[in-house]
Amino acid sequence: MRENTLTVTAPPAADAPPTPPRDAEPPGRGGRRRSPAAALLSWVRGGGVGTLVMFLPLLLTFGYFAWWPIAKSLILAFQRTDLITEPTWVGLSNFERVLADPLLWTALGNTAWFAVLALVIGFPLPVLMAVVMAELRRTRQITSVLAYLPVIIPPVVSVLLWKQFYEPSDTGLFNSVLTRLGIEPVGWLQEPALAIPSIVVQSTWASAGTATIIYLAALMSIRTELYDAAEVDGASILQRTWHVTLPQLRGVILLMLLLQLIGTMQVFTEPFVMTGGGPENRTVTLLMLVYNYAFLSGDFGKATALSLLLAVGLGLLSAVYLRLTRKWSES
Amino acid sequence: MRQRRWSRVGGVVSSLALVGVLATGCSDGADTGAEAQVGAACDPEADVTITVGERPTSDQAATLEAWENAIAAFEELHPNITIEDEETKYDVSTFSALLVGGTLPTTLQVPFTDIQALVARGQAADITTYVEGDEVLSQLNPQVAGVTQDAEGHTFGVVRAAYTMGLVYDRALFEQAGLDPDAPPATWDEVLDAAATISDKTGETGFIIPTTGNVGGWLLTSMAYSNGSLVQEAEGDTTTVTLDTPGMRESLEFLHDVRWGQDAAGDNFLHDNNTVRDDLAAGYVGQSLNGANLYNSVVISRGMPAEDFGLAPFPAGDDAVGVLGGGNIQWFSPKATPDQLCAALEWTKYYFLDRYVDEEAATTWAESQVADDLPVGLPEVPVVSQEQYETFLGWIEPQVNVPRENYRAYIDSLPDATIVAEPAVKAQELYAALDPVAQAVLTREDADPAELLQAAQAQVQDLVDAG
Repeated sequence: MRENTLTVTAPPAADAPPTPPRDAEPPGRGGRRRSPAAALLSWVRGGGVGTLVMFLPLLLTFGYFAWWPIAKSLILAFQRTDLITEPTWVGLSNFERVLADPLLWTALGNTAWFAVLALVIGFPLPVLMAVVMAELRRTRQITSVLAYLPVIIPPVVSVLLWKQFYEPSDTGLFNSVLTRLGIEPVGWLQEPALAIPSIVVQSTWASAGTATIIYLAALMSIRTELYDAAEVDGASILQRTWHVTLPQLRGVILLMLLLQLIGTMQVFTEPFVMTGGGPENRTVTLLMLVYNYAFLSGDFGKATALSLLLAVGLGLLSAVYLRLTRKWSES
Repeated sequence: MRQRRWSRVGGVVSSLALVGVLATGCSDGADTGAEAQVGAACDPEADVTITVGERPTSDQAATLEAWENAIAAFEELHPNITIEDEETKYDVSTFSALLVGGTLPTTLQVPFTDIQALVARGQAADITTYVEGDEVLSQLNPQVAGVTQDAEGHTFGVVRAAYTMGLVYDRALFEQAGLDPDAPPATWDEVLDAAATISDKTGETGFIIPTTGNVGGWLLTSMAYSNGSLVQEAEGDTTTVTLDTPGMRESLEFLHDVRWGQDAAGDNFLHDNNTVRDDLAAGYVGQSLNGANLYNSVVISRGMPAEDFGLAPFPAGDDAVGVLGGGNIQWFSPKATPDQLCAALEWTKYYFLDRYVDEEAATTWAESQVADDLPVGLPEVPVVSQEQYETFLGWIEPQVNVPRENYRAYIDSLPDATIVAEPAVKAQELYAALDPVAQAVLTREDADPAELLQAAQAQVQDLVDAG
């Protein structure tokens, strides 16, 4: 049996005990089946009650604040409610209304374009930064701090900061540079074709630090013997990176790729604060649509229906991704 | 192995079910809470506790003191009513959650723009019975009171302040551009000319409006009213959305002319309501459109010199159907009991409306405003009769601390103004569909208004038909 999960693979240490086959029963657990009463007694004697008591606060907290709202939103997707009177069941009506909204396809296209650009621009950068930082051993600490600094800035603050950078007049940071070079100011967020790429650049700046630190940590765990062996074989820096570093980072890269995909498909703060969805709905994203349904139109049924569609879509996307990369991640 | 896994899954599911049952038992669901029975009689003598929002913050010391004194005096006058006050203010993004959570006050101020949506969603108490029998509330200015009513004439709030949309302008920029700030533009052509002059002479933005957050749609709707077109027509239960109209096209042509004809709209065409106010307060914008209550936002909050703030009537087009109204409405919780509703109405009259009919209340209010450097004497549409309002102005005249002469044209226009309400059905959705239309005209020279309006009209009509 193969587990359909993504794992960071590392060769077992020389002194590690052999891993038992996955389907093997632990010793002493197989054999004849016991009666339920005996099993219960055994469970109590084994400290089961204490475990349950310890577990219960966690269960209740997560249940009340996380799982119950999720369950409630699942229910809401099939209801129409004003949150005051008794909700009414409307079957799939909310989903039909969501799918009939022409803005949905615009938002889906925008979100997908954002995700693609974020992968193209934002994904390789942290890997590259981490590899360079790992090579620069003396300055690794300071470069780590510098790379992570943007993450410390609250998201809305950094978005507002970049909104100033993107100011379309020649007083904006980028346009003032262009003006000095004799180039006309650019409407970074006003030009339909530039709006999403501009937001992706900001988003990459704001989030690359976290990914870089994770890659750097993974790089630090690569055994130096591998590099030594490669050097003995006469591998250049590029060859060492290609044949040693990247394969060793493979598991982390695959995981980060999936997380980034899920994260970018849920982009909200950046377009909400920077452009409000404009120009001409070119930066409206799926989550902005959810927000508008819920908080501008008060249509919670429609908002939860779209949320559910998004969750299912991301779930399917993740499953397909894991399926496609399974061989690579385990080889 | 398989069996063990299923038993583990079963355990988790059972646990979740248990948590669900517990959570259901603990939660204050949508169907619980003390909902008012519509039209039920209240007992004015019953012991009752209400919560009221918008308690002044501690930085407004004099206003806070006046507020606390008013509560104490009110409770002395009505020993059966206890008031618990809090600083909660209306916020569209949290309103529903707070309401269903039962943590909204009994009464709160909401803007004109949102009351009809709250009524349509059943999120405002029907206070018709209590208003009809009340000497003060039944005599409020009917032109503005109508905003709080639904199609059947039921009342869902009390208007406590009202204004119309207006042309907001920077008097200092007018002077720099050689324009007379005491003779502000009155027509769209004059606004266009002034915008071009300001832009040419000062280098600042001659005219711009916000175009995001539904504000662009709100302002385009106001412009269409001014140019003779409504955005919805109602016949029985059927609502027809009318965005592709001559009035709306004229409005878009005006925006196009400012941007592409005169190049007087600045560089940023994705302003939200706050950034336009920032730029206006900073002296970067010559003219804009907004509610006539903008003084607090740009002068008090953002530091624009009071003498630079200019306010003129909303520009007049051909065959205007009227001017869009705005203001503040006292909202009442649909979860309140009849006794709480009556008590909250008493408080509303006492604190927000008595100043118009009681000299002492008027003077106390005005003195506390002045002590906190807050404005007294801003132009507004009277919520009481014109005659009574003139009397009120006489009472507070010594405390007036704003240059009313700078709003002369606006003030003089109010008695003859025809106030038109917001679209009755799906107003926010309609505004949202118009935002990109305004953005298109300002960002694309070849934007086709007819095509844009037809698309927006079809989109909103679908939403209206879907209910």
